[in-house]
Amino acid sequence: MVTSAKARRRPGPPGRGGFAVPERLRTAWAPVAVLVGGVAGSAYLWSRNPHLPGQMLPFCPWRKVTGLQCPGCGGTRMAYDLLHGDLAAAWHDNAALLLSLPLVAAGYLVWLRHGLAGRRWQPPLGRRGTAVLLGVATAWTVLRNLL
Amino acid sequence: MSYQQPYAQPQPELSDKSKVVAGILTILLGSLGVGRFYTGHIGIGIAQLLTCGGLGVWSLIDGILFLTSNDRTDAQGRLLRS
Repeated sequence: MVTSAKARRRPGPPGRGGFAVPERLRTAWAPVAVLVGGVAGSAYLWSRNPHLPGQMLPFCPWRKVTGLQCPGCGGTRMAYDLLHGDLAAAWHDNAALLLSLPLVAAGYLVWLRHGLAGRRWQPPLGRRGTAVLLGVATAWTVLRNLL
Repeated sequence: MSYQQPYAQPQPELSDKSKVVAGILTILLGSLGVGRFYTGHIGIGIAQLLTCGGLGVWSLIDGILFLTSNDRTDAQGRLLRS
């Protein structure tokens, strides 16, 4: 869903801010920051194998506390294995994340394109789409912890 | 007949979503992104779902901010109910 940023301004009386940030900057910083962060993260991850302990990598606190895997657990390992071209290992790390990766990448490119053009963009998921997505995520979480 | 106050500020439209519900959902189910799906921020919800809620840190801070701040809006830009 595309909405112009003007229609989505915060409520309140207008004209109280200090200076106006250009529209393009307001919509483009987030996708660009994700790109920069992704490249930097990949560079950092390249030489650290997350399959081994003590690699100074972030971990999932949910799993640390409960011992259960959340739907995104294994994402770091999957990224590492994909960077090194090991598709089978990536599948083993987090199959659902691997399957959703093409969709996520496509969504990201659309978001980036709209952001650079000065427009805000949200994935066009309706109420039903959101319910399906959360249902699949929940089923995947239950399944991966049982198997 | 309604009486128009001379210096009344226009009231911003309120959301039908509550910030308390959004905060609690984000803190408890942040690794599924549920709080953000609730307020209609689908993109942020997906991002939290795919990253264990931003490694738990993001969704925790996000949920506390939902509970404590009074200027958070839903995806349509309407203020969340308190």
